[in-house]
Amino acid sequence: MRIGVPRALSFFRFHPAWAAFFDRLGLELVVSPPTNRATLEAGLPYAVAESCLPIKLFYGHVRALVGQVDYVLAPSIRRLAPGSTNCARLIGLPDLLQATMPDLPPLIAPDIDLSQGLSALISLLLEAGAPFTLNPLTLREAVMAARDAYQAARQAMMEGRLTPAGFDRPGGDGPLWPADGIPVAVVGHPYNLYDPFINHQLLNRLARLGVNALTPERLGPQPGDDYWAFEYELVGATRRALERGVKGLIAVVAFGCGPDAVLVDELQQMSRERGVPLMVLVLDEHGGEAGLVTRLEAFVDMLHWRSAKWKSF
Amino acid sequence: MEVFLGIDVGSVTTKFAAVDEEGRLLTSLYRRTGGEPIQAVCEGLAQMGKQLPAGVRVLGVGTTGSGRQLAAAIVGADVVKNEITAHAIAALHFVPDVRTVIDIGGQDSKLILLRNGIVVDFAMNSVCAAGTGSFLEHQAYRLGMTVEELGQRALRSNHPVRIAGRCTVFAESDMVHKQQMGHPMDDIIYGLCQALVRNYLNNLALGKTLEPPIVFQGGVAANAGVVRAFREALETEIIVPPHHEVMGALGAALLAREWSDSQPSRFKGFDVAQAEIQATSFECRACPNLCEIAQIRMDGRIVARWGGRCDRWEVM
Repeated sequence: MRIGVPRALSFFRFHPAWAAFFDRLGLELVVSPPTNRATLEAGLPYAVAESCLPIKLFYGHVRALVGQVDYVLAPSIRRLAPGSTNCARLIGLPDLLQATMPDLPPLIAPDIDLSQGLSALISLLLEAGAPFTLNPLTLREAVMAARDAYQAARQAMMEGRLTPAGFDRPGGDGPLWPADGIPVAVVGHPYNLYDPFINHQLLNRLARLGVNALTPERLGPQPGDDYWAFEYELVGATRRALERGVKGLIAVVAFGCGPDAVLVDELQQMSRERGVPLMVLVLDEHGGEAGLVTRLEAFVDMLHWRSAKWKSF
Repeated sequence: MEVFLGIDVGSVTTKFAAVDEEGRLLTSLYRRTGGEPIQAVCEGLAQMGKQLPAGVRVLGVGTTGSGRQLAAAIVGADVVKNEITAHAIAALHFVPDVRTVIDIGGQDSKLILLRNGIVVDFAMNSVCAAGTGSFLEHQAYRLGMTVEELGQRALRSNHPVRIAGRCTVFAESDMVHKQQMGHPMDDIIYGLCQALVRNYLNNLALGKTLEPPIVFQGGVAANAGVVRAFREALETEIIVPPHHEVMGALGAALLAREWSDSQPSRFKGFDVAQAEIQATSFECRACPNLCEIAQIRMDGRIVARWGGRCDRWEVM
């Protein structure tokens, strides 16, 4: 039995857990290949026009799995914390898929609602595993393995040994950033930060410019207890980065993302209060990267300039 | 005589500037890129060679603008810098205590904030080019005027009409409608300038404080109507420096001057226009990204390659 995992959206957060879980159930996991131009083109016809780029890419990744797998994993992520919510397009993801793709294999689409605590998490995993085994011991073991793998991955990311881009690579992907570079908080949803296609190799470019990019994953879990819980995790990460003395803030947001508008507003306030410059990078479909490169170079020039390390200024 | 050259290859125009060892502007050139950046660079360089006294020695070359890599490969540049830094350096050169730089070019607009001679914040238009020079030019063309005439007409307006500035296409519909309603052209044109300024301030200046002295540069600063609209919106004096249209190139030349301590310049000479320059492109099939790789040959030798998402072709 082959379970298809789209390399998009929640892959970049929860994949280690799902990988361990399905592995314990003896199922084979097929992750769609890294995003490329064809992924976007395959996804576009299925996405409503107002969708953000990450959603369009998710559809494309699902297309890469259709015909290759027996099931596709497409969880609906509702809540991270009590009183919080998530983007309607993410909550409705499995329904949207089913409505637009007639040739879709059966979905594994549990409702993820972490506001109900651990028991709810366990019951949703049990639900996800139900089509494959009803043996409570196996399921219990798979649930525990999922939890351990998730925590181990978060720890490895904090220590800089792993990034979400390396979730399905044995041994991870090593550090991407020069440890002695200029410390800059690079804040955004993991699917925007760790998919090099969507952001035009942002992290590699920053590394080459000598930036030590402190991403939320490196800063460790932050409480996400406000209405837009994912976004408030990022606000918390930014606060911690500021405590660690970062010289700049870079926010990476998808064009048209509603919840990210809240994030950008919070970051603007923090930037003003702390006197740390903020640059907002908006990701969309256009392929030209000249604008992005110009912004990154100018931002790094500015940080050098501000720290008076610039040769003659 | 010893000079430093700066070249700014923008989307719509290509600019050249030459400064002496004291950083004084000797001569400059402003011409259309015309979709042919290689030709624009070669011809412009040859023209600069003519404008400068015979026998000048070029001690350093800087390039900037969206075509900076291309220009650097063709002419042999010593410094390749982004437009933000280049514009900031140039503005500081003319107005040492400048605190705000507004730059509006052909397809992008920038806002640079400086404090004590240091860039502390900046913004560029991101996903939309409404409110840049291309838009004004298109409207001027539609009305059968030059951009300068557009500016002069705007100065005569007493009761500007409100034009939607959010989107170029809708702004045009709005203008057509106001024309059909019989509003005087001067008022429509100034309404358009105000819309452009509103768009700029909404997009780039949101949450930022624009403190004087404010320097306005870039091609659009030639439009007196836009200058007036900025002055009225910000309620402060707007400084349009002399040579405002070549500030990027001037900044690049000044950066080249800074760079040049002792190293010999890589400059290939003004007669680079004589070389046979070929630009070709191909689709890389090494991975599903199918990147379009462009390569530049000079006299048969490949001097630059870019366009890939990875480094495969860029390392030579």
